[in-house]
Amino acid sequence: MMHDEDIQWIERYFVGGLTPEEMLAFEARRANDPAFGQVVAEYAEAVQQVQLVGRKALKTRLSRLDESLPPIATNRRFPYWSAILLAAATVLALWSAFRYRAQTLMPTPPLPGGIRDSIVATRVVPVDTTALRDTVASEGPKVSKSAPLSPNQPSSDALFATYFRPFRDSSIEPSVRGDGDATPEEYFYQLYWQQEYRTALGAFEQMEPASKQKGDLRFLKANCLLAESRLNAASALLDSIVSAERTRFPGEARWLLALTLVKQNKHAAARAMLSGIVTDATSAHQEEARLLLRKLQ
Amino acid sequence: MSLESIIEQIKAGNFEPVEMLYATYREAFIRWASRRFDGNVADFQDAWQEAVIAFYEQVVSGKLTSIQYTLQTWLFAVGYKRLLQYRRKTKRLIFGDSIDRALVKFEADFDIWKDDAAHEEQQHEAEKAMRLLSPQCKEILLLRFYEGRKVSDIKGILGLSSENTVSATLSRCLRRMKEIVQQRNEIYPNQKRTPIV
Repeated sequence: MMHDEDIQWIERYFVGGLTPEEMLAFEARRANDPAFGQVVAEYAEAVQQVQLVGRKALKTRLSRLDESLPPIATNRRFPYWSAILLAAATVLALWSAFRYRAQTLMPTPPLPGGIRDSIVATRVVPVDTTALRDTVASEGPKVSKSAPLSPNQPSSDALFATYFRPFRDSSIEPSVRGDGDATPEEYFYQLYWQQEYRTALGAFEQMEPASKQKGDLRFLKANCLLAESRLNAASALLDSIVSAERTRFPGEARWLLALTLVKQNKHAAARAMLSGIVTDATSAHQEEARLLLRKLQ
Repeated sequence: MSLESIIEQIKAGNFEPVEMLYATYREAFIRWASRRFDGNVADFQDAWQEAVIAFYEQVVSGKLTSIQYTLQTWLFAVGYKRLLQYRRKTKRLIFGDSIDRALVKFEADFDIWKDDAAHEEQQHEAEKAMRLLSPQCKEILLLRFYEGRKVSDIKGILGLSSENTVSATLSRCLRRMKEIVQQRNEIYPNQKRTPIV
């Protein structure tokens, strides 16, 4: 039978709160008392489970880093079977081209009257686009909403699309509850995790006022807004998060705000924000920010 | 950046050196491994991730404080051992580069996988167990038992009022995690377990 003091002692051992003398006594008890040793082993297993989750989270983080790094082609032996397939495909293409050419040069035999009539009857009638052209002309010259930064640079939309990914890591993975009575917050997390961003925004509005003020939830809401291309709302929310709010994701919020500014063609502000990220050694987006900044300049 | 500085930063909770190491030698490792093993880039990338994670864990647990070769050699040799564990067919047996020499001379240094049974299924089970904890419990347990952060650090990170509060919260969360794992083990008694070290 374990007493409360024993349990507290074991917990202090794992939390790191024992003095060297207590440690010695603890190890002695562990070695000599099988029941005590069993409980210690149970705690140790719990700790290992935590470590497995931590390891997976770190692996996810490195996988995300991989996505931002250039792909690698290994120096593998030349695959001869591929060459054979390529040769076969070339022969097939040449043969098809030859057949097509032979058919087009061949005089077309006259069609029977009935068939010819049905072809004429189903011919596509060209649409008169004059009216449409006039309407467009009357609205004046259209400038692309996301004009290229310069002739050789990708557009703001393209840059945003390249770098924006709704935030995701194991820390926001929702708990699965068997009894089906998810709280509004849990429901929001579930929808977000399932990438149901529009529905998640609706769920956010259903939450308690106190929940709506939580920095982490507001950060995820900003992700939903961006995924739904609601730039102005996302920008205002991120701005507020970055400047004042407490969240576990301050670096992510700054990065998203920078991307939003890029998409909004506010390049000066985006560059300023990106410069800050580049100099922040703790940012997970330092390298991406550096690349993006280079593209903007 | 020196090894000491990298270790110091990692122990202070900074992941940046880990990511820097990962990105710096990633391509070289994949090219190096592809000359020795049959496998695709994803396999080599996976082994590289495991090697960098192993480095992080060895540093955080205080097992790695210095090495007698370059950090690149350590990482490559650990990644090599990981690929061997995957039982990829080796293309050639005898090489003579610095990694082989380190593997021969300091083989025990790289045998860090022998107690490791972190299969995907077990990770999945662990994640399922942790999902039953509150977000605060999850965070505090990861900070303490994966990132190896001190109670005083955790107090600052989570904005808790005192170190006693941190210790009490840690104890409560660890006890809850132990109960969840115990319940799971009772329901699935034949499940493959992680070894107790």
